[in-house]
Amino acid sequence: MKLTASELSYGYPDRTIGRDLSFELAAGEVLCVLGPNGGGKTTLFRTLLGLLEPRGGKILIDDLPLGAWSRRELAKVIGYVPQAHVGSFSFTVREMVLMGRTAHVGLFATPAPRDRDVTDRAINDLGIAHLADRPYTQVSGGERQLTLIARALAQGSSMLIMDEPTTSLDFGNQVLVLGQIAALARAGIGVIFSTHEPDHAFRCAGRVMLLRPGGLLRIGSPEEVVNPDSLHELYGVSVDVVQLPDRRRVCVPAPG
Amino acid sequence: MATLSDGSARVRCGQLALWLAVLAVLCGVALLAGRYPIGPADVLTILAAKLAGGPHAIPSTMETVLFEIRGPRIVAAITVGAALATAGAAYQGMFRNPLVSPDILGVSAGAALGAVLGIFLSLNLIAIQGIAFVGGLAAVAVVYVIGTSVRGYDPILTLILAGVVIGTFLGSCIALLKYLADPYNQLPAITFWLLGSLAAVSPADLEYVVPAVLAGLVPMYLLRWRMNLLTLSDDEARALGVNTAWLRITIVCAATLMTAASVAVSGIIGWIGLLIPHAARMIAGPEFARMLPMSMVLGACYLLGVDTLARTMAEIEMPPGVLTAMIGTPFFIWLLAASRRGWS
Repeated sequence: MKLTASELSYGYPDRTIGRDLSFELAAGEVLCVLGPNGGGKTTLFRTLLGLLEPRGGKILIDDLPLGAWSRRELAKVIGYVPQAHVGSFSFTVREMVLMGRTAHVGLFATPAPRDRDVTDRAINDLGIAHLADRPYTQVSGGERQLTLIARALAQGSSMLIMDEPTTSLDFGNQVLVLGQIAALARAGIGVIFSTHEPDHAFRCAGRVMLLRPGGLLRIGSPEEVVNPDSLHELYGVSVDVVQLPDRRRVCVPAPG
Repeated sequence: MATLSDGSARVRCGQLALWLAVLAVLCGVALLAGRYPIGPADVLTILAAKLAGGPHAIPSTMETVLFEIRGPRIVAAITVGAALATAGAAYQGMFRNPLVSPDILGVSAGAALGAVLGIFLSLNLIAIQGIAFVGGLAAVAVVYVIGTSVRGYDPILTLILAGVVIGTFLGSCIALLKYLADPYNQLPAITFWLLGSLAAVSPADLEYVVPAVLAGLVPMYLLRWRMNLLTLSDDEARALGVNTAWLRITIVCAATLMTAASVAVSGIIGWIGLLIPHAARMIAGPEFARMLPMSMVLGACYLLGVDTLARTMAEIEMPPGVLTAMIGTPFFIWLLAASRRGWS
């Protein structure tokens, strides 16, 4: 399982947001996307998911152009984890995760026992089995995010695209979700996620992509890419990157 | 954990069976109730004779009442009730809005304008129903074309806006025809039609209404699980492998077909399409695979019950379109108070 973007331009029919983006993601890799609001992170993700036509360049999945994949087949290889939202209908957590099986359920069919097994396994993997019968609308934001990750897992895809999975979560839940991302990568799943916290890149990403309006600023390992200069260029503020005694790195805004 | 979900699935199956039993009882009551007295034994004798093809000693008036008047009316109430409730349930999910009813895309307004035009031109009943049916389909077709040809906005929002705008336009056309209509003959007929009633249903009507409703109901039933996906955002549903545009147009076509056919024979019977889905959701939960069949059965029960009451409660027949809300509102308030689930 490999995703390749070459000289990709992405945006809307009347407005190209980024150009000339090339990168690869293999199974088990984690790519963290950092960038300011309006930097094109979501637009890039929608393009990678085939929800938006590329404005130029190519996206290959397992060496096959994205356009050659049907929606159903694509859903079996790439999963999408949107930002946790509250829906209009109070499906239970289990019902919500079960929807991940859509690509495996026939058009006029209802989920089979096998789909329910896969669903229960995904729920167990994310440690939310105790919530399975609670309404999705009534669990916490972090639990909702875990539910959506479980849904993408139940989908059976080997690559996940997560749009700001930690935004709007409290500190504990952020750590929990980042831990899950690392666990998914260990299980051989490729993950692309976006975040507003440069620190998160150090926590679980193998590579970091800095995205600004117009396209790519830099891509590379967290140690290479997340430094005061590039963060200043990206966000327009001064940031110190500090190494802790145990060699972990953290970002803090510079004083003054 | 697994046993728990199996257990609740069994409970929910039991609930559907319970309401099907209620529907069967209501059918029995509706066959016996009415001005012309018929006893349970008479009904059984006639049915047995019909099945065996042999003669029977029951007066032929009784047979006519059963097969030409009460029978068709019962079938019509079940068909129309199930159609309106199912269309409402599907639309509420698809538009992600619990306040939506089947006429959001203008099907009732289109059908009403067709019928009012038919009455205004003094056409016969079959022609009036035909124009109403075509009017309902045409209104939704126009709304759908407008809604989907405007690009760059949320497709759901443009569809609703187009529905509201066209609905208002059709409403003023109806008002104009009412103003121009002959106040002694046509205006009362128009008013009665708009109130909604099953009194005029004949066996011949059922020959086209039932197939048209089934043509919408069957695909809806088959797509019942997949409908859950339409309550998610478009991006999410597509990323899960759904062709949302195709699914949406299928549901709009099915809902329009059955609502237009229903409205053409019954006139505008409000309330059912809006609130029966909520009752079904409170009983069966929001998951469409369980909620949609529950909506069908509850809608059928409700309209059959109300129609039976409407034709027996007073010396004159009450319009069921009026009674649906009068009886439904307290019932719904009770349901809301008794339920722990609430709207969603």
